[in-house]
Amino acid sequence: MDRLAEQANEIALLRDRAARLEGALQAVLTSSSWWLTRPMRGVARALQTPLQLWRRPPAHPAAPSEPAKPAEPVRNITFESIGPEDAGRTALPPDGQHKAVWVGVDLPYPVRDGGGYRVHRLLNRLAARGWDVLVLIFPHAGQVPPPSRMREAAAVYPGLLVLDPEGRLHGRSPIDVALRGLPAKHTDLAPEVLARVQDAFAPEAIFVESVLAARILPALRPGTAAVVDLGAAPLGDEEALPEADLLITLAPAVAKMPHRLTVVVGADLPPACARPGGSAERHQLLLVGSAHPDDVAGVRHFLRFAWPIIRRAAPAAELAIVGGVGATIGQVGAGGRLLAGPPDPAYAEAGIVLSPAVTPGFRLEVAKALRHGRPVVCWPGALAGLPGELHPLCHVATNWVMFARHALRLLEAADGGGEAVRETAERAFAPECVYAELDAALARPPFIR
Amino acid sequence: MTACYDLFLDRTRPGTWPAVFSEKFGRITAVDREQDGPAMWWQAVAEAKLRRRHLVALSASLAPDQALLAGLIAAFAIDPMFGTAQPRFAKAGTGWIWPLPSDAGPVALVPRTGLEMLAPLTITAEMLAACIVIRREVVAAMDPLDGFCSLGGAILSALCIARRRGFRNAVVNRTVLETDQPGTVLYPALAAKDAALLTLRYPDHALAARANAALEEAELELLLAAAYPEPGVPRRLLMDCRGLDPIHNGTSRYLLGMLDGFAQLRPDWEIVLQVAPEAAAFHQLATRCPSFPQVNGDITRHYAAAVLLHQPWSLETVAELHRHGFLILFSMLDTIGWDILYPTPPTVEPAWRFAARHADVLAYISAFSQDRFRQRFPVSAGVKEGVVRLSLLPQEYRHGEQADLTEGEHVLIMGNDYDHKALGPTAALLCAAFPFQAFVSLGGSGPPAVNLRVVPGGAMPDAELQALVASARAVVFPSFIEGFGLPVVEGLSYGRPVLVRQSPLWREIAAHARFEAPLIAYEDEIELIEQLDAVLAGRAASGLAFGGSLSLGESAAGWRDAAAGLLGLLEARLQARDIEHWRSRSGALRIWRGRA
Repeated sequence: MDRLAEQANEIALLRDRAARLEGALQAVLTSSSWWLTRPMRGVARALQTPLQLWRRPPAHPAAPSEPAKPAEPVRNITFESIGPEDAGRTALPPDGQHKAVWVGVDLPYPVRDGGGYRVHRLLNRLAARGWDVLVLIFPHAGQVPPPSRMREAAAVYPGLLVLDPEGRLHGRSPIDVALRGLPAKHTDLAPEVLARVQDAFAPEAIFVESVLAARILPALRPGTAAVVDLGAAPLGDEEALPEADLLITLAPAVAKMPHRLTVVVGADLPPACARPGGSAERHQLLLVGSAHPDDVAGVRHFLRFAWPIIRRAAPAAELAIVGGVGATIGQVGAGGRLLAGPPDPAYAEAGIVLSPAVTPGFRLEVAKALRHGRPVVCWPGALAGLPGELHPLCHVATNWVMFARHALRLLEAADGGGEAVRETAERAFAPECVYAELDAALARPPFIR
Repeated sequence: MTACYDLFLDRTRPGTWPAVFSEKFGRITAVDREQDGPAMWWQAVAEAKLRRRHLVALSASLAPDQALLAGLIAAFAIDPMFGTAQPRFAKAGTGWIWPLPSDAGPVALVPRTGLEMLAPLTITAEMLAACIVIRREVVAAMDPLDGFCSLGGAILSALCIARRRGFRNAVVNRTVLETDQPGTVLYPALAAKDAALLTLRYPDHALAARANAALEEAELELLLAAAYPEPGVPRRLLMDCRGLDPIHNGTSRYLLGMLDGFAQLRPDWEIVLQVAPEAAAFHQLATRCPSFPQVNGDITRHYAAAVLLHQPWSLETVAELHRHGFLILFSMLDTIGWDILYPTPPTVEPAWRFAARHADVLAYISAFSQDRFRQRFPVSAGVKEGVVRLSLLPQEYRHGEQADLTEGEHVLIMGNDYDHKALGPTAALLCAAFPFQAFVSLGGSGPPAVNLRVVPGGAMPDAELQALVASARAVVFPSFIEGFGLPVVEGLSYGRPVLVRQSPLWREIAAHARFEAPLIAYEDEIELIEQLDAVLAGRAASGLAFGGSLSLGESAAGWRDAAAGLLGLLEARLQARDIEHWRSRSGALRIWRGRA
């Protein structure tokens, strides 16, 4: 009965929250500035090429994915099939009611870090809400995914195209025939490919990572809604995003920007992520990091600055490092060990989970730790994309000494959170909560015509 | 007294001849202006040779008494190869002695007190003087030489031959003859024609002339004149500020602080600044210490003391200061240059070894520096040593406008690009350990980090540099070794917590100072970040204890005390009236010059 009562409360809570979000969204959509600027955004999109002639260059330095310099020769696109899909995966359902293209610089799947996980879950959510999503990847030079990884991704995404910087289009999509032998007209192939994709696929919405926005948004066909994913980045020069209909962000502060429809989108955590069982070893610290340079730097700094402080004060403390970071860390030193294999089983045994990366972004280890009811020590940036009700459950440090002190305090604490934390996290990471704002926004024009 | 000498009187020069001589002392040969001087000289020589007498050659109306001549002749008994002897000449009615002719610089009369410190005898090569006694054995071997047109030429050629036979000239320093005659008469120059003839016949006479001109005693006499002036005449002190550059850096702060100290002290010394005009103008020395004359270029005068407020970097510097200062003082800042080796010229090693053995005074800016120096360079017993710390008074480091600045956002890391300063690695360490804290790296380069601003020290106006210190949340000075650590004192003076790498130096500084802000020593990087975290969080940081070496109520020493400390060391040294240390140094430098 108690459980039923809890669920009822939870549903009421979610409904209340959804209603509040709906209200907030309506307020934005009905605001005069939003609607007044809507036609201007459309005009700007129609006049994209002329406008670009007098638009001053973005204030930010050119990203590595900026268009190739004019001096480079015009290239032709060749098509290479990714190959047969890897059976056994749970693919996104094709043939949805609506069509969208996700444009990014890296494959979200197989998941390598929190950022990729968040995008992957977002694509899952879109699919679940009836969107047929084509994944279009423009990797930076030197970061082209290996064929094996592309094959794994293709097993999950029914529509996948990867354009490498050499002009080879790797693909498995319903429209790949339309792209084969595509003659290139521009030195920057990405807008060219996107134009053809729009012709052949006719998406209603384009989701694009902010780093590609300046290249991609001008290539949108009139009538195609644009969603820019800012991730955890602060909103910079607004001129870089003139045509976006919707911004999605991890940072609540960005969502409060006026005159801009912005929603916070973190990542949900399926129930399977929490593995019950296992007894937590209070003295065991679990440091989880991917092979991402920010994680690697964070782990190295933890080992250099915080771990000696912890070890000196708590000699019995043990450190387990798990995740892709292990391959680059090498020696851990006394009291520490590298765990091979996927990190998930380790959460159940850990007393405290440590999130080492300082830079802001969705931290999967933080989410999973909370989902397991484990206390977390992390940096302020790890709160990005985390539901607000979970913030008080995170022990946030602003330097490595504080990081160590948080860990020490948790080592000494009788109760690090446990079941209460786990239940709060379970509610907060439910898709209905995480994507409530996004779902509401996508249920409105211009996304639904 | 039985006469044992003949007299040869040169009456060719103007002046009144005193009628004090009579034949009862010996035969007198006098030559007048219209007579043939060389012929008369050889005649006198022949007579003295015949009578087996010493021959006294006098000119310029001098009137030596019997006792004086006896004193000169007594020198012959000391050494059978003293062929000639001559007295010192004093300006009549004063205590001033005419110095021996030399090329050591402008002629300055030597006080008799200084002369008394000299050895009784100074041995020279042939040297013309207004009063010379020629030993009879030398006279006996003299043969007339033709060709010389002047009396001086005839006499000096005879003395040259005597020297070639092994006879040297003895200057009897304790035997003083008072006279009104000028130095040019007392030590006459040879007529050019005769000088050329003498050198032609005996080229080694040029060697003799050079040896006399470079006579150590002559150098010493000029320095003694500066070191022991007559009452009422101030001693001169040369402050070698050639290391002062027209920029604001640690050296300039130290030098200017010391000059301020001397200016406040108003000592009864005349302090002369040897300084480049650009640096003097940049630092406004004329306003800062208007009573100190400034000179630049080559050092010309002689001083009681020549002070170099830092280490000598070569023996050339030591030799130069030695030539112009009776005492030489080096302020030994640290031994870092020698220890780290890589940026230091090879001339440093011999210069410091020499200083340890031959300097008059070594002043160390900390006991820590003294210990380091003595471990590396054995200091001889003759060197006066003393620790003269720089100012530790906060008010002497706080600049008016910056003193009121409130705490800013940044933590200041100070140093430079030398490895021992550890600036770059510490900046990288702190930026990584405190990713949300703003840092400023002052004085060198730094790693690329979003929370780090790198400020090259020398390029920034002093007021801005001071403002960076005055408004810092904390100052980190990660140097492995310092002599004193001015940045630390500056930071503490502005009331900023200062974190330093553990060293006995900081305990010493703390013991002699009283600051309100904590001075925190860390052992390793973990302790550094823990202590900095505590400081930034406002938690009580465990700092070093201040004032342990000060008595109750005693304030720390300032620049004036530092200046007084240096002068005290010099004055104590002067009171010792020791010239043997000078001689030892002079001898060593002569050997070095000979090898060079």
